[in-house]
Amino acid sequence: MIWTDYFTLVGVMPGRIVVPGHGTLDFSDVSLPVEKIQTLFENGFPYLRVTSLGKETFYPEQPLVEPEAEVTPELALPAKKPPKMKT
Amino acid sequence: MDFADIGKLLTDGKNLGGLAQRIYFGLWSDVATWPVDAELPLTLDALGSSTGSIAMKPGKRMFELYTTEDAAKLDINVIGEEGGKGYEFLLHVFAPGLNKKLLGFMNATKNEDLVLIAQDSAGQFYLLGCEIRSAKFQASDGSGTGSTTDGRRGLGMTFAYRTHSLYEYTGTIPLTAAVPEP
Repeated sequence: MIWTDYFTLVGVMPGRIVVPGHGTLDFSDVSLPVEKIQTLFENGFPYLRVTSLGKETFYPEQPLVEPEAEVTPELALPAKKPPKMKT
Repeated sequence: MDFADIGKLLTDGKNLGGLAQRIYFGLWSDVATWPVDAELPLTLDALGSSTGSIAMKPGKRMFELYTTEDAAKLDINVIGEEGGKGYEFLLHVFAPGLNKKLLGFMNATKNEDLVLIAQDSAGQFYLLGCEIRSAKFQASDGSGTGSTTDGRRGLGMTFAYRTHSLYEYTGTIPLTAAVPEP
C-alpha cells in the first residue's frame, strides 16, 4: 500500500516537512505509512489532497437515501392488525 | 475572554529545559502566508496558540541550523511601558566551528529580516516573525576562536523578535521548496 496512491502532495516539492507531534517527515519517501498520512490529512495538514482512489477507499460517498415523508398523526392511517397466524 | 482555573499542567511530569539542537530559519520576505491570531470567542488555551502554518513563496523554503547542546535558549522578556506592554523573544544559539558556510550565514543575516522557529525540549515550537514584523540578528555572544584549548570555536548569535502576544506555533515547517498549486 503506497500512500501516494491515496494522497498527493500539493504546494511543495516532495521532501522534508517538520510536523509538530510527528517529527520531520520526508514526503519523497513512498514507504511512509498510509495511516500516518491519512491522520495528517484528517487533521488539516496543508499540503495533502486525497486522490480519487483515496476517496473511494477511505471516504466512499454514501448513497443518497430519500428521507421518509413525515406523516402527521391526524392523517396517519390506523395501523393494520397483524394477520392472525394459523395454528 | 473567559478565564479558567490553571493547575499543574505537566504531561506525565515532563518539563525538561532547553532547546532542541536545531533551529529553523528563513527570509521574512520569502513567507507567503502567516499563522493568524485566535478567533473569538477566546479561551486561555486559544489565546496561547496561533492558528495555521507559515507557507513559503514558490521556490522558497525554510532551513535548519545546528546548534550545540545546552548552548541555545529562548528568553521571553516583557517590554514597553504601562498600557503598551508587549514581549520580546531573544533566541540564543551557538553554532560550533568557524566554517565558511557559518561565516556566510552571519554575514547574510546580520542586517536581514528573518523568520525563525525554535523547538523546546518538550517538543513545543515558537515562531519568531509575523506578517508585520520580522526577527532580527541582534548580537553575537561568544563568537570566535575561544582563548584556551578547552574553549570552543564557533558563532554565538542572538536573534530578537517583538510581538504583542506569546504563542505556541502549531503549524508545519516546510524544509522543501514551495511550488504553485495547480
